[in-house]
Amino acid sequence: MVEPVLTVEGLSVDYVVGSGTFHALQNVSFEMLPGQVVGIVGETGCGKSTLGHAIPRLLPEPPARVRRGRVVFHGVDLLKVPKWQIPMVRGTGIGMIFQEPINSLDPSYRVYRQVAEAVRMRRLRDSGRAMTFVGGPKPFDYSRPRRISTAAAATHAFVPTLPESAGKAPPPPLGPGPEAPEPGLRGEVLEYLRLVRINDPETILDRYPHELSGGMRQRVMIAMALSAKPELLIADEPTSALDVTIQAQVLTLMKELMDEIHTSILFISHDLGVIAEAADLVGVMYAGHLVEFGPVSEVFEQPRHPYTKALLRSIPVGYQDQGPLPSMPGSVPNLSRLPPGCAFAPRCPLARDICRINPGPEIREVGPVPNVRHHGAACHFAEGVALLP
Amino acid sequence: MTDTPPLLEVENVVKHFPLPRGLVDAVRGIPPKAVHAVDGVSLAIRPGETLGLIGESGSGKTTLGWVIARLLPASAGTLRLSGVEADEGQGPGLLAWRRQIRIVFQDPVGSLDPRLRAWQVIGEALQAQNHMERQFALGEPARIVREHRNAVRREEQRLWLACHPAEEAKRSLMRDYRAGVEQRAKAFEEGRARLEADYRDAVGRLRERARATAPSKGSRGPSPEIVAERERLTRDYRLEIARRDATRRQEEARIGLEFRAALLQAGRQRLPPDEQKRRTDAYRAFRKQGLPPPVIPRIPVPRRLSRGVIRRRVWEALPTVGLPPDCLDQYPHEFSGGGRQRLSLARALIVNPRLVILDEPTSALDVAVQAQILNRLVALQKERGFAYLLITHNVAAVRYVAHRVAVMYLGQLVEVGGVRDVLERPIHPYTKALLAAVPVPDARRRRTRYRITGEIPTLLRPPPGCRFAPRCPFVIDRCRTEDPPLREISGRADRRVACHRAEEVADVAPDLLLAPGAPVPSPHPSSSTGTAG
Repeated sequence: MVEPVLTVEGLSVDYVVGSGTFHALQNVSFEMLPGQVVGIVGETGCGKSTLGHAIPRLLPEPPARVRRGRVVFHGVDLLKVPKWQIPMVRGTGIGMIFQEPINSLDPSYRVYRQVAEAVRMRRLRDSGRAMTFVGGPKPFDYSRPRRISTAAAATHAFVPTLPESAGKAPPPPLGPGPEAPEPGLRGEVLEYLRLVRINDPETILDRYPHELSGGMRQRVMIAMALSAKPELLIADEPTSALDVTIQAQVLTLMKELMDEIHTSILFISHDLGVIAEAADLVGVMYAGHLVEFGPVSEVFEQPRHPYTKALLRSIPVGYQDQGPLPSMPGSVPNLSRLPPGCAFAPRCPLARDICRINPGPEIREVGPVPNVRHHGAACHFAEGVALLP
Repeated sequence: MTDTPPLLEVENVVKHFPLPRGLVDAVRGIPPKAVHAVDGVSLAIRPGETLGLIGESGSGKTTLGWVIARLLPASAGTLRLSGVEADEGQGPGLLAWRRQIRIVFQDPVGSLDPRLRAWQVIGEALQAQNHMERQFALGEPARIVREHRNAVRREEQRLWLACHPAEEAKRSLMRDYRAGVEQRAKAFEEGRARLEADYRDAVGRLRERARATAPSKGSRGPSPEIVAERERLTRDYRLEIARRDATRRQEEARIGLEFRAALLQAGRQRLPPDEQKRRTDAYRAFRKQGLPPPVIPRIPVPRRLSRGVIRRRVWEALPTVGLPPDCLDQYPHEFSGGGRQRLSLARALIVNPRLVILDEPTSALDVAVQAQILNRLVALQKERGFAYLLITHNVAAVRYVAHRVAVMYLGQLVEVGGVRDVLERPIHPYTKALLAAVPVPDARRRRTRYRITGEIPTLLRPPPGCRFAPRCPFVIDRCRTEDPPLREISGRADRRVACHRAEEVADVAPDLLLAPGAPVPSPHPSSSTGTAG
């Protein structure tokens, strides 16, 4: 039995703004096991970025408001942890790669300083000189390779214990101090830049972010995220701003890194092709609901939710003389006035009366193996989806 | 279809964006740098045809679209629309051009005025066209009258001068003399500047020599020989200036005297009396009759479009792009992404253009909305016969909409051909690399590796030779030195490729640029198989 690295249970997030309450996430549940890549795919405004930001609690509150749900990271519900402790889990616990690297790299610092900050932070946490998750100086064990295999190990990581040297020598001071020597910091930064296949990293170190191309910036972001050696990496549209050839290079790089550093990745993208290439499991979102979840091969080849099927069918693959593109009727519902029952019902060819009754369908197992983690769809007529054109 | 004359022809169009040159570079004489956004592109679009222009960001495809729409002037090259060459000016030629070529901009939010309602946004195009037509209809008669009056004046003056040969000769002499004075002054100034530069150079060299031969640090000042040499140089320079100045004065005085003599001489010219009479009569006759009056065409002045008319025409146009007619009074921000794109499209199509430039029409949209827009575009083309230039990096959109495809890399076309030809049997290595990189929703492609590496080079200093050479897997030495021309490939009509090794690499499938991933040695307890429990 492998402990999931992340469990999201019934997560519901609203945005309360002047014009109403927008239900950005409704009852989203899924699990991630160590080393898995989970892709989240959906159209604009379906809540996939909200999900990615809600896990490390990066959502601005207000306007966002977590209505209910649990986000369990290594046995600790992040939503119940006091807000001031959350930075302790960011970086080394949960890393983020954002969509626009130029917005998340500081334009006034050189690349070296920004990557070094991440490395330094991880070192501090490794050595116990920085506050970790529950406040004690006991470090969160970030050494690799490592498996959180038992519940005991997971609990152990969070139990505040005094360092063994307690009482004998004064504990090392918290924080680096103004003149703290950093042996090998530059070397380690270089190592990470080489890891993300940056040519000539010595010169790149002294560049400012604006001097780099989009692909290079994205790689610097990836290097920063990886150098913190996070348990869980949330990649929010990491390649959407890149050209396809550069995107293919970055995706290849991420796949190679996956083999070298076993990190769980939550990979958010609107591009079904990218998800197919990068992810092991995929979750399909529609209007704030997770409507289908399962292994990529099964979801893409035998979708069990009419929305997934329609989404896959609307990808243009043919030529003009092969007939018009199949397109979904209607449009995405307004998140502040969702229809009762299943959110997809107004556009769904399979919809019956039962679909319009509250509450909507829960995600349930539809795959061949009776295991909730395997392949689930939130549809009353999941078996009928295969018969759709 | 190949026989129809092209609607739009683009020949060797170049667009460089010069960068501001620093003071240091200007002093050193380093030529200004320029971004080579479009570097010699030739293509043609036939009526009713879609040409897909694929390329990555920075390949210059948007710039090319702007040059074709004449939103940017081309640095070189010619554009022809239905055989009519584009002129340089901003006059009626440009207006006619813009009436026939419309552009749908990349960013639907940025290109729609947020203060205008939907009918105003779309109606602006109608209003602008109406305004243009009214200006022409109202201004054309006045212009013809003005032209006529000027022609009469010119003719009168010519005939008067013919009556007075002395006056004509004097004017001509005067013109020559004035030009001569200016020319000589300029030559003199240039000579003096050259002299001064030589003098400064010589002094500089002398100073260098003095520094090099300085006996020791203790001694003060240069050696006596150097001082003497410098004084000699200065004296020579001043003497030469004075000599040239004196010569110039003498010369000017001489030429001035000659000019006056010639003027007196010319003033005495007379015509033979009968000739004089004939010419005077001609002049007087012209003064009486003038030129025949101009033909002023009757141009009906179109009425100024009323609010109601515009609203009605917009209302009629909305369903063609798939917008509900009751959204006339909404603001652009009230539309979804797809709705905004439809607004842009309606604005382009309402004046019935012949060519529509679609700049990334679906890049900001989700696949489901994209499918709706692409279907609409194809249907409109079939109904109304527009030609499209579809500029995008989205290969799937090009596959569906385009008839022919042009692939652009760093400002140059690398491959042109029919859509099936190019997308199914790409020849140029870049086209192959691009097609291999496109992610497809097929789970079997997981764990494949992309084998093209390297970054896109900068357009400030494009590499010599083929621009794809630094990333090309088939590169040979020749590619790095010799620019490959866009040439026809034997046996394939309507297919042009810019690659030295086109014939050799033609049959390489794009998928060969993908390597299957190394066998993954069971990295973690639960991989994609999901064996949990």
